[in-house]
Parts: sequence; C-alpha cells; structure tokens
Amino acid sequence: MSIACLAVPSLALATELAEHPRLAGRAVALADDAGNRVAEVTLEARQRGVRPGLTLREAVAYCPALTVLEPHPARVARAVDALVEAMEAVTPLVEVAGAGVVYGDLVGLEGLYPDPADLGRAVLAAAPRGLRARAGIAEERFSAYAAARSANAGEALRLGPGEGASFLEGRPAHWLPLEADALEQLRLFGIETVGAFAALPFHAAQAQFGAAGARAWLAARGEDPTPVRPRPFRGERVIEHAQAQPPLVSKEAVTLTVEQLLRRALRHRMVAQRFVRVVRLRAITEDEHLWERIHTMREPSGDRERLWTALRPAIEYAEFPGPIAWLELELGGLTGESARQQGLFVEHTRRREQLDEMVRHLKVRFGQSPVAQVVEVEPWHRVPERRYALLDYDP
Amino acid sequence: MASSTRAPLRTAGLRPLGLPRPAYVEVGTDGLPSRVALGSGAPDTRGASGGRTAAAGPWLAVEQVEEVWRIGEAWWRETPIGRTYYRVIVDGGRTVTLFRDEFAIAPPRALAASSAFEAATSMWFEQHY
Repeated sequence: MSIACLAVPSLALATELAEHPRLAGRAVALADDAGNRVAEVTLEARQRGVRPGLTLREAVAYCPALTVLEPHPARVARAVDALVEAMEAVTPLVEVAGAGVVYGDLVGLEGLYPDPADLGRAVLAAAPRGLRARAGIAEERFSAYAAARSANAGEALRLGPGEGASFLEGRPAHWLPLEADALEQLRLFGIETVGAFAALPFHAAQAQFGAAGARAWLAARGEDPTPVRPRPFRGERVIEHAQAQPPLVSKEAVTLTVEQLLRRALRHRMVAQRFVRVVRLRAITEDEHLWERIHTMREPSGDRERLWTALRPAIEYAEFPGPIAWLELELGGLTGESARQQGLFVEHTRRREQLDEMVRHLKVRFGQSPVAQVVEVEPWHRVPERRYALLDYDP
Repeated sequence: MASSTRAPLRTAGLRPLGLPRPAYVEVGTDGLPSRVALGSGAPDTRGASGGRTAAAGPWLAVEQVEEVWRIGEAWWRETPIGRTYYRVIVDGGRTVTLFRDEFAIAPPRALAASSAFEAATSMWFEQHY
C-alpha cells in the first residue's frame, strides 16, 4: 500500500453532468471550447456512434437525441480543487497528474489506517459526490490508476502486493502512460490491452517509444518506477473574493473591485508584517468561463502600491470571456520578512520621479521645460565656459 | 584659416556655464590691475577716487595680485582665444579672477574719460576659474 489514485474519467463532462443530474443515463456530448466539435461523450452517446473529434453537426446526425453541453472551465477548475482537497484529507503528498486524476503518496499512513479499506473510503468520502469519483490503491502508480479506472463510481479498488501485473493484463492499452501519438500507434499495431504491450520485448518498446516506452513497459508489468511527485507546499495563503450581482461588465468596475479585494486581503492578520510573493487573480464569468492570472513578484512585497502596480496591468489588458460574476484574489508565497533594508539611493530615485512628474506638468503648462540640468562638456578644459553647460531637462 | 571641427558649444538646448562677465579695470604703471569695478553697467568716471553707476559695483582697489597666467587656445581658428588671467585680492579681502581678452577690440581711446585706466568694456572680464 503506497499510492492512491483518485480518478474522474472525462472530468469536464462529469462536472456538467453533476450540474444536470436529469441527464444521467442519456446520450450527452460536451462541446470543445470553440463550440465546433465534440470533446467528450457519455457511454450512451458512444454506443450510438458519437465520439470525440466529430463536428457537432456530424454528432447530431449520428444521434438525433444527443444533448450537447457547453464547457464551463471554471467548474472544471473547482472540481480539480475539490479532488485535490479530497486527497489532501488523507495525505499531504498530492500530485495533480491531469484533469480528473490525482495521486497521493500513502507511505507512512499505515498507523493511521490499519485497515487499507479505510483509506479508500476516506478519500472518496471527501470527494464531491456528484463527480462520481473512484479510487484505486496499489503498490505502484500505474496499477493504482488502472484500479481507479476499473472501480465503479463511488467505490475504491485495492490491489494487494504482487497483484498489479495480473490485474493490468486485460486493461485497455490506451490507459498506458504514453503520449496520444504513441497510443494511436499501439492501436494501429493491434495492441489493445496492457497485457499485449507487456508481452512485447523490452527493447522493442524502448526502441519504438524511447524512454517513455520503457517506463510504460515496466508500468504494464506492474513495476511502474514513476513516483508521486507532490506539488510544492503551497503554504499559507489569503483568499478574498467578491460576488458581483449583476455581473461586472466594465473594466473600471473590475479594477475597483480587485483593488478593494487587495486592500481587504492585506488587512488579513496572516499577511500582517509579512511579504507576498505570488498573487493569483481568478475571474469567473456569469456563464462559468474562467479567466486566471498568476503574478509572481520579482521581489516579495507587503506594500499595497507595489502589489497593485504589478496586478493592475493584468486587469487593464485582460480580455475577459464575459461579464464577471465572481472575482477571487489569492495572496500566496507569504514570506517571513517583515521589513527590508532600504537602499541609500531609494529616496533619491523617488525624488527624481517626483521631479520628472512636476517638470512634465510644467512643460504642459508652459510649452517647454523650464528646468535645466548641468552636464559635463569638457570638465578638464582650460577655458572655464567650455567645461559645463546647462541642458534643458526634458524627462 | 582652419574652420572649427568641433561642434559649436551652444548647440540646441546646451547653454555654457561660467561665461565671463564684463569688468572695468584700471591698470597701473606696472601693467597690472590696480582697481576693478564689477558689474554690467559702465562705471562713473568723473572722479579718480571712483564713482559708480547704478548697475556697476563700486570701484575696488586691488590689494594684491596673487597670480598671473596666460592661456592661448585655438589660435589657428577663426575665433582664437588669448587671455591673460589675474587672480587678485581686492579691498575687503575678496579674491577675484580677471582676464584681459587679447583678441577683443579696445574702445577708441577718445571715448575713455581717463587715460589712467583702460575702459575695458570689451577687453576685461571677470570669471570664476
């Protein structure tokens, strides 16, 4: 018992079906982001000949009763977060391997969960019910994935030590950890099960697909060497959000709201006397489209002006996918710093900026810059008036 | 005469600093400044003891000539520079640097009210060195 996998096949479609429970058991297809082609389909739609990649017109021709749903990336992002949180309820070592697949390293949890079945139940209990997630627990990664894919919705399947190879034998080859091109090649070669791939000579798999092929071959034999790569510790973070009703249409309104969120977040006691390294801004439109920007500060800062200066251009140049119904600001990467040694010339630079601004105003008012600066011409010259000169200061 | 190969000092927006200012200097028998009036206006020349105009400063007696040196620059060009500098201490202890422009045209002697001093309207200048 070392790796758990929490999987939701076709996560985007599952998310939509969770929102529309009445569509359960019907032929449903999810359109792609452009709204032209089929991205994912339910089993019922697949049985009627609808498959991903078809144009919507073709799909409806195959299955006139097909229900086509529009994708909502914001919902998918929330679902991924929910899966991560579900796995984090059991172990802090969590890897997001793709949409709808989350791994957790279970090493050291034997004391907490003497009965391995409790682990599976604990993971599934924390997962959102509507997603129909399933869990797999095995000695190594690919077996855990295959176990999760094979389990029924809402159930956990556990493979004991040494059971991986025999369990994997009959699983479909397109589950193998290979790129889409390689999986297509396998299909063309007529290799349809994991067992058939494992039966190939190692050198053949490696020669055909390189290092990935070698790893996939080992995985197919229940010897997957790939470890769980836990995502970096996210540390403490402060999240502020605002729900807009009616949704925000003008960019000025969005800007003001974000500025208010930043003020509010910086007042949080967790941020007090500390610096912020990462600012994440997420906007969700009224029709559940997602817009997200992550700004990593070159130097952590606790200064609101500086954070706002970094954040503001992202909003000003943003092209939101629609009226904004939800805004979320996250301050992360909180450091232990509470102050910074100022440079000797910082004040000088600030004064220079103020001077520049003032001169620009004067120039607008009088038509020319009334300020000059002394420049060295030939400071060594014997004739004094050749040494220095005044140059119009025009910032 | 060779023309200057240097860009003119007064290029667009560039104004030279430390330009010489006219000075009025009376030269003694030894050829060194003996009295000086600083300022832009013409000095009052009615009395040998020295009057003054509103614009020019008072006549100041030169107490000591500290240093004399000469510079010659660009003598091969159309506008050569030839100056003899005098660093003098005037009445009151102030140090003043004067120079006599060797290429300036002296005013007609008849215009000078006193032959004792050289009305150096365009010949004598004060300059911070």
